[in-house]
Parts: sequence; structure tokens; C-alpha cells
Amino acid sequence: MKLFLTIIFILVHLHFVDGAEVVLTNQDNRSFEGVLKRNNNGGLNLDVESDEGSATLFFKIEDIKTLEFLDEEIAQDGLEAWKNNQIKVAADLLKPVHKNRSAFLSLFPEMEISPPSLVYAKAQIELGQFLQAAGIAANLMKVKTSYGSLESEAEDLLLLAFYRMDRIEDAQIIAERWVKTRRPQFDSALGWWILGEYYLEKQIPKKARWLALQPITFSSQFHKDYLEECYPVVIASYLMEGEDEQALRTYHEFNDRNLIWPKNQHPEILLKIERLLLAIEFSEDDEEEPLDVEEGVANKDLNLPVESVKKLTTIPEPTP
Amino acid sequence: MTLTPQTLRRYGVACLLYLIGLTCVSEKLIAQDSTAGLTFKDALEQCFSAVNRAELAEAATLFEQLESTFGREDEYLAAQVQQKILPIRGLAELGSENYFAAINSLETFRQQFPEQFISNKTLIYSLAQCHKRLKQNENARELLLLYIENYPNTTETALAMLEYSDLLILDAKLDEALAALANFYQSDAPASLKSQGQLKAIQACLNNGQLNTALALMLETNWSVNTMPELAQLTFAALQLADYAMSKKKFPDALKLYRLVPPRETLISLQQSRIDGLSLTVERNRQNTETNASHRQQYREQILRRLESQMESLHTAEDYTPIFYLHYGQCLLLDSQLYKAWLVFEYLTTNPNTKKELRQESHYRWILCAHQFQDWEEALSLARSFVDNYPDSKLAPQALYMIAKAHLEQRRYTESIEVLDSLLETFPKHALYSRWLFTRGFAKVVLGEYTDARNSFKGLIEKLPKARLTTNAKLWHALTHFFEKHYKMALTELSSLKGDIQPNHPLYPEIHYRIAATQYAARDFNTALITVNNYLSKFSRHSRVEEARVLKGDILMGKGELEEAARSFQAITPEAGSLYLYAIFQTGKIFKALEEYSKMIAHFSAFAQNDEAPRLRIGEALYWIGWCHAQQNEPDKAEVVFADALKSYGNDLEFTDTENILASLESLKRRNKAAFTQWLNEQSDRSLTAKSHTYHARLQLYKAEYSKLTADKRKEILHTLNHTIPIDALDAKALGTVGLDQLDQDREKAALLFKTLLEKFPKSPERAKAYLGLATIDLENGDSIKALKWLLKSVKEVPFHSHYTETQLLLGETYKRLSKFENAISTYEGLLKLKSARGHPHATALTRIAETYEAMNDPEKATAYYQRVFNMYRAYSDLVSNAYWKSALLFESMERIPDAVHTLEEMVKQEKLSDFNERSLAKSKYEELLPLMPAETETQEEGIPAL
Repeated sequence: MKLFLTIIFILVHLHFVDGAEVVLTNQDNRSFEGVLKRNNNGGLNLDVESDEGSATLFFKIEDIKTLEFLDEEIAQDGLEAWKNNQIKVAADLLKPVHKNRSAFLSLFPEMEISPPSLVYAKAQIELGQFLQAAGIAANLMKVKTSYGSLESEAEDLLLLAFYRMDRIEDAQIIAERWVKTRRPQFDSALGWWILGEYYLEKQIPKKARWLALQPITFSSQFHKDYLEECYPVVIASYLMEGEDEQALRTYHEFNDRNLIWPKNQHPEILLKIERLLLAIEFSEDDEEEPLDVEEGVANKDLNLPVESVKKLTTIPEPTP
Repeated sequence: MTLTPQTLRRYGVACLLYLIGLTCVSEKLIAQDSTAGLTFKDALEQCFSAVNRAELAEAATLFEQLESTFGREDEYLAAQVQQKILPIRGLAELGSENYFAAINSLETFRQQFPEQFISNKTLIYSLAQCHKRLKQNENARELLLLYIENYPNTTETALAMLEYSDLLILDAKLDEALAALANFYQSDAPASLKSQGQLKAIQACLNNGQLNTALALMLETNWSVNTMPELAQLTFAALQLADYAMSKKKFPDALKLYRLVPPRETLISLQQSRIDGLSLTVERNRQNTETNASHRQQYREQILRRLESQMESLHTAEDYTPIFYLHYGQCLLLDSQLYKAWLVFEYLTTNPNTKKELRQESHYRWILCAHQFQDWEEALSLARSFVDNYPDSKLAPQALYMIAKAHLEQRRYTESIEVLDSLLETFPKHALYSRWLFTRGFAKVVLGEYTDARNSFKGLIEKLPKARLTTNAKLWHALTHFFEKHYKMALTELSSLKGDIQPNHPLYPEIHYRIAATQYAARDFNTALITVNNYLSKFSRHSRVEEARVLKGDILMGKGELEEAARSFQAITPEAGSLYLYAIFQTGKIFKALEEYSKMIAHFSAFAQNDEAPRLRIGEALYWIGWCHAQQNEPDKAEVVFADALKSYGNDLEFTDTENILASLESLKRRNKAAFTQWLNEQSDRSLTAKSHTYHARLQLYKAEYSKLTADKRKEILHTLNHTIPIDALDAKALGTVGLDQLDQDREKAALLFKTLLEKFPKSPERAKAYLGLATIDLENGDSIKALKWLLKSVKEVPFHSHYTETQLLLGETYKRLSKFENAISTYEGLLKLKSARGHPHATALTRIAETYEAMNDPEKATAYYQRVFNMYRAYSDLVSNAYWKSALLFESMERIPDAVHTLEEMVKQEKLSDFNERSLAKSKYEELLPLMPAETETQEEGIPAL
């Protein structure tokens, strides 16, 4: 997986642009407008132009108080479009914003310059550009913020991108780490679901079930991402083990909760469930009394001499 | 629009003036105030000015002065003026909290200008508020209803409806309130407000102890959890009602409600986001003068205050989450949702933040969960860790006892005893001590360890003579003698026990029955018959009555009163289940003994055709019908019945008489063997084509075993069966036979066949083959202990079967490998006593004894046994050759060269042994040893004993 991640990083860094137009304010509250670039000494260069000519100013990271990117308006439009479910528009708007900022994301983790990149990655997932999304997510995971939610959101995206790319083995590694650091009560079931899918594919239904049941057990009426996806895993695991009754029970619970079967996820399982329901419907019409099941088998050998009768040694229950 | 004194004070009433259509007062109506020197117009302006400045108290006073100054003037009294003044004055009085005055002004307006009043919703609502403030709830409700009826389908109306319901609840008019809220829930009001209404109804029911109604409301409501603000209230109501539903065993309902409960952390976060959102809306609307005094804004502010107060409580109160999870887990457990219950209890138990008492409860329930899961190992491990973590817990012994019982149910008696031993040792003063002792004794009985069992029962009888289970222990103590066939002892104890207890003791009939059964087992049929008849007449409703009837039949059979016995058996009805079947076949046995074949045919035919009888062993009955026909020299009829039995049951896995039928058919066709062979082959081909695989396998096996085939041909048949018949279609015999055949070809497949046999046919005698095969595999894998376990199982469970000899030989070998030489020798010697094992098995046993002595470094004894082999079993050249050779080598090792030479000499003389390697080895050894012969051996040959 390391090699694959490296390739992704290279791909992503190829998209870095030379610089971003910003207004930079230093610790002395002096502001400079120009094109910001990273230099090889771990600091930043700002190319400024004025009537007198152009100059390059050098800044250490700690010298910088605030950074205002001049594409902020475009970024806001992009975020708004995302909110309005205009995925393609959001992606188009946020693409250059992300390019401008990606080189500086890890340098200014607390400045909240990463939301456009995060949303861009989400849009890429929606648009089926999983490799791109994985690259951005991997980049964002390096941004160590004090609040931590960016890192976990980026991890979600990376996991989802790998899963969608059918890189199930890589997804499994991330998902194993994911489930160790998240609690099933929280608002996403992503890791449990993907890990459950992994074990389902590996024909280990019991393990798949234990995983996918975690977020289901600890879910409430409040929304939890990917909760719907966990149910088909549990149902499939029961069916794989021939526990049709439990599968149906889980399916009824799924319906009672007004959840919607995820598109393209295990359609064969849904079909099987429907068949089972149909079978029950039919069998209910002509149900017969079950035959009595005998508890034991009596001595059956008629060839034994007649005096060799069976000794009754029935053992009574050990209760008074 | 709603008005409260606070709102009016805070925001002024300019907006209200606008809203009720009073922007100014007509100039011509204004007159001079004689008292204050002001004109009516100026005085009125002064009033409005105060209102505009939100100086409502001042405005109210000014209005009062206006009235006292101009109250009798026409200008003032003019309808047009009153129409303008009264509402503003009323509102100002409301704003200055002078509710009586406000009511007076607004009611006057209502009386004088009813149409205008009705057409102004603000005035209606404000008047309602005044009455409400003065706790004149009935008037307030009447006005709110007026409002609702005249201004339906607005958000304000919805809020008024909620207020109206609140007032009904306050006045203890619960039914009316619930009806109103039910209507409200069906209305088109916003979902969030409807949820509010339902919450009010539920809270009112809870406060009035109407839990069932509250539960029904809670369940029928489609909670809009994503928009409704009062999540905390919903959470706690859901918790309370879920617990209630669980107490009423309505588990699915309870679970539905528990799903409305988020953990505290989530609730706080959700509640905070609601507060943030609401604060923002409230703040935004405060900027807007038009809406800042609105009904809705009031409502929002009220909710916001409540949410903030709840939030504070949430932060300060103890976290409800662990208790919630405990109850939720319990509900899942009771609803048999074991996986989920497990996860919840595991979470609570392993969470370091869970308080100790709660963790203990949760841990205990986790064990219960494992118990129900039948995950015995996990259950045991959890129970042990429970006892380790909470040694002083009252639940610790219960936890362990539960495990012991679980083992017992799973027939893991040894494991159960281990747990019980630990319990008995650790908690000698526990209230359940007597039960543990008793259960331990019972487990020992099942294991056949009767002495130990008696010790347990005796321990209970002596230590706790007054315990509830002491009589049971005495009964079981007596029964252990019965199981050991020490009937006299058993009878003594049972009779003594019967004398010690009162006839109304629950165990009295049981003891009575047991005495009869023991007398019968001791072959004292006369006394047994008296006892059983006595039992049947005295205890006609006791649970052992059917068994007693069967016992009576058996006793009569024992007495030789066969027809009487048959009558007794025939009294058993199909409801008696397996006893009925037993009685049917015992009756058959009687007819067979009496050679009453026609009666036997009629008896079994009636059974086979009786739809009320259990549909079991029908094939067997058909076999006996056919057999009877054969005895009556009616081969055609017999063939028809046999064919019918084979057709119906030949492919039935549970049917075990195919082989008997085939043998009978072969016997019927003994004069035309070729015809039978041809029929067998045809049946075999047809069954394969029809995919009647079980039947096909049975036919082929019969061919392999009874058709005098060569070993290769037989092997070929078994090999084909192994490859062509699905494992699921093989019956017990086929699984065992093919499995043994596969031992030297495909060990894995053989193991699979044996395990399938044990799983699918755990009571079949054929399982002896599986035990033998599995032991062979384990022994070859070097796991002698496992092999011993299989073999001992075989000896205990299936003492007599077709592979008994092989099993005993392997058992001896296993003992030898485990260096349990004495056991090995006694096993072989046991085999030597068996007449059925004469011949090669005896010779083999002798060889093995010799080998065992060799392993024990006792060459003297070893040679003695080898000598018995080559002296007594000359027919078995392989064993003889080996015996000579080993014997010679042992003599050599003891430096008894002459004996060695003589043995070798005797061996090389035997041409029959020329095919064996040992013979050529013997020749070389003979030549090697001959020169070492001492001279005096010749005198020995002459008959002089050597010293």
C-alpha cells in the first residue's frame, strides 16, 4: 500500500501550482499582497509587485499571522454549490482553489484553509474520480490540526476512495485502523461497513456480522453515515450461514427504521430476501401441523429372545 | 401575534399599532382636557406618545386620566373614538401588567365592537393572555379556541393550540387535552410542533400515571428528531417508557423507544446545535421589529430558555448513558437479539469509565448472553473473570452455576462437575449449596461414576438433612445401585425412603414406580406386578403412568404371560410417543414368539396405516410384515411388501432395515441366485439414474458385503461409492464403511466421513466405525491421547459391534504407546476370552501381548507369548513368521543361544514361511549363532536337563 500511496502523492503534487495569490499579514500586523510560494528552506517566498518594481520577500512560517487567499470568494461559491448538491459545479469551482492551496495546507493547519480541498475530494468521490480523491485525502491527512476532525474526515475519504477503487486489501488496512480509533456510537459507520464487506468477501460471515452490527447496535434515530450499508452486510452474513430467519428479522428491522437499501449494494441479497418473503407468504397458506418428534428410540430388535425385554432405566429430571 | 407585558415593555407597541391598524387618531375627535388643561386631542396624543415610547405603564395611567377627564364627553364616548382607544388602552394595560384593567378595556371593546374584535387576532390572543395571567383558564381557553377557529392553518394557531392544551392539562382535563392534542397531531401543523404536542400529551400521561396511553402515544408518533428542539425531554420520556415497555415484556416496542435515546455525549452535542440554531433565529428576528413581538418569536424564546436550562441539567446531572445501555442490552437479550446484546454488555463491561456496580451487572448479563449463545467456552471464561473481578459479588456463584448447568445441558458432564467442584469448594455456605451437590451427583450418574455420585448424594443427605433436595438425593442414591444392577441394595434404600416420607410427597409415586421397575429388573416378576398394579391404581395421573403400563407389559412378558402382556402394551396410545412405538414393537415381539404371524401382520399393518401414530419406524414394520409372509410361505406377498418398503424407505437416510430386506429377498430367491443378482444390479442402476443415492449406496454395499466378491472388487465398489455419491446421501453404515476403506487412501476424506457420521447419526451403532477410524488417524498422527479418547468412547457407548475386535486391538496398542502396559495387556487378555475373536484376532492379541512385554523389558514373558502364537496358530503364517523371528532374537538377547538356535532351526524348516522376509533373516541368524552353541547342549538334547 505504501507504494500506492507514494504514487498518489506524486500524482497530487504534479497538480501543485507555483504559487497562490494572497494577502499576508505578519506578526507586526503589516500586510503584503503577492504570490506566495514555498522555498527550499522550509519557509515561504512572497513575490510582490509595486510601481517601483518587483521583489521577493522571505517569511518564516512563524512570522506569518494570517493569510488571506484571494480566491476565497470562488472557494465560498464552491462550498455553497456543494451544499446545494451541485456536485459538478462545486468540483469545477474548487479544483483551482485546491490547487492554489494544497502546497500550504500542512503549513497552516489552524488557519482553516483546507475546507475547499476537503469538499473537493468529496466531490471527486461523488464524480467517480477515486484516485484523485484518494490523493487529496492522503495530503489532507498530513494536516495535523488541534481539533483533529480534518484528519478523521480525510481518513474517511481515503478509505472510501480505496474501497470504491476495489482496492479492498488496502481498504482493509485503513478500516482496521479506523475501527480501532472510532466508537460505534459516533456518527459514521464507514469503517465497520467496509471491514464487514471485506470479511464477507473473504467468506468469513461471522466476523463480518460482528463488525457490521457494531454501529447498528449503537445507532439511534439520529442520522449515522453509512448505517444503511451495514444492514446488507449483516443480512448477507446470516444468509451465508443459512440463518434465514435471522436474516429476515434483520431485514424487517431495516424496513421498520425506514432505511433505504443502498444502491448497487448486494442486489442479490435483496433478491434472496424477497424470495424468502414470498416463500413464507405461500407456506403460510397451506401450513400443516408439524409431526411430533420422538424423544428417543426404543429397543427395536425383535430378534432378541422374548424374555430379553428392555429394561426401563429412564433417568428422571434432577429437580424436585 | 402574541403580547406579553415583557414584550410590550421591551419592544414598544409601535409595531402593534401598525399591526392592529391604528396608526393615528383622527384629529377632529380630540377635545380639550379640562383637568390638565389639555385638549382631548392633546391628551390622546400624550397617550399614544407614551405607547410609542413603550412607556406602557405611563400610557395606561394616561388612558385612565383621559377617561376620568373626558369620560363623559361625547367626543370620548363616540363609537369611532372608543373603537380606536379601547384596544390600545387594553394592550397598554396588558403591557403594564394591569390585567384586570386590560380585560376590562378589551372586553368592553369586544362587547361594543364584536365584529372588529373577531377580525383582530391580536386582540383575541391578548385577551386570552390576560385571563391566563389571572389564572382564569376557562376564559383563556375560550378565547384561544375562538382564535383557533377563526384563524386556522397558521403557525400561530398551532402555537395557540399547544397553549390551549397546556391550559387543559393545568386544569386536570386530561382527556380533553389528549383529544385536542390528538387532533393537533392529525392537523397540517409543522412536524416539529406536532412532535411538541405529542411530547406534551406524553408528559401529561406520565404525570398522571397513564403509562399505557403514554406508551401508545410514544410509539405511534413519527418523531421528527432532526427538527424538533426538545430532544432532552424526548430522550427522557423515551427512556422511561422503554423501561416500562420492557417491564411489560413488550420488547420490540421497548427497543423502538430505546432507539430514540442517544448517548449523553451525542444528546449534548445535538442539543447544543439546536440551541445555537435557535439562538441565531431568535437574535435575527430581534432585529426585525415586525416579528420580534410575534407569537412565534415568543415561542422560540420560551423554548430556548427551556433548552438552555435542560442543557445545564444535562451537564451537571449524572450521565444516564451507562444505565440506558444496561437496560437496552437487557432488552436485546430478552428479545433474543444476542449479538447486539453481547456488543452492548461487552462495551459496558470493558469500558473503564463504567462504574463498578454497573460493570458488575453488565458483566453478569454478558455471561447470560454467552450462555444463550451456547458459546460455552466464552461463557466459562467470562464467568471465571467475573468471579476473579468480583469475588464478593452475590452474583458470582450464580454465574458459575449457570455455566455448570450449561455444560450439563450440553452433556459435557465432566466440565460441569469441574465447575460444581469449584463452587462447592469456594462457596460452602451458599444457599444453593445443596443444589450444587445434587447436580454434581446427577452428572456423576450420567457419567456412570456411581460411587462418586453416591458420595455427592450422601454429602447432601448428611450435611443438609433438612434441605429441599435431600429426598431427591436419597432417591438418586438408591438409583445408583439400580444402575449398577445391585437391585437388592436399591430396593432396600427405595423401600426405606418410601417408608420415611408421606404419601402426599411429590416423589412418593416416583419412588413407588422405581420400586416396581427394580423388582422387575431383579426378575421378581410376581412382586413387580403387584407393585406396578398398585401404582397404576393409586397414581393414575402421575407422569410415569405410560411408562408403568409399558413396565407392566414387560413384567408380564417376563412372567411368560404373553397374551396378557400384549394387551397391556396395546393399551398404550400414540400420545405416549416413543413409549407407544416401544409397545408396538414389543407386541410384535410377542406375536413373533408365539409364532402368530397372521396377528403380527395385522398388528404391524394397523400400525403402518394408523395416521395418528408417529410416522416413525414404518419401514421397519413393513419389513416384519414381509418377514411374516415369508414365514407363512407366501413369498409373493412377502416380495410385494418388501418391494413396497424398499420403494418407500430405501432412500430414507433414517431407515435401517434395507439390509435385512435385501437379505430376506435373497433368501426368498435362494433357488435362483442369478435372478436375485440381476435384480440387485437393475435396482442399483435404476437408483443411480433416479439419483436415489442413499438407496444406491445401500444396494452397492450389500453387493460388496454379501456377494462373495474378491477384496479388489469390494474395494472397487467402495471406491466408486466414495466418488459418485454425495456425502449427504450416505447413511450411517455407508459413511462408516466407506470411511474405513478410505483410511489408507485419503485420510482427510476418511476423517470427514467419520465426523459426518458422528454429527448426523449420533446414536447409530455404526458410529463405532467412526471411533475406530478417528482413533486410527490420531494414533498415526502420534496423538495417542486423542486416539484413546475415541476408543474409550467406543467401548463405553457401543460395546458390541462388528468392529469390536479391531477396536480392542487398537485400544491395546494405544495403551502400549502411552506406556500403560498393564491396561494394554488386560485389554488383549479380555479379547482372548472372547469366543467370537477366536482365530487370527486371538493370535494377534497374543503377538501384541508379547510385544507389550518386550516394551516392558520382560523378554521371558514375551517369548512365552510368541511361542503360543507359533505353536497354536500355525495357519496365520504372517504372525507365525514374526513370532519365530522375534522369539529367536529375544533368546539371543537373553544369551539363551541354544533356544535361539532351536527356534530358528524350527522356523527355517517350515516351507510355508518361505514367502516372509523373516525366514531368510532367520537362515543367516541361524548360521551366525550355530558356532556359538555350547557343547553340553547336545546332552540336553539327549534329555539331561542343563543347569
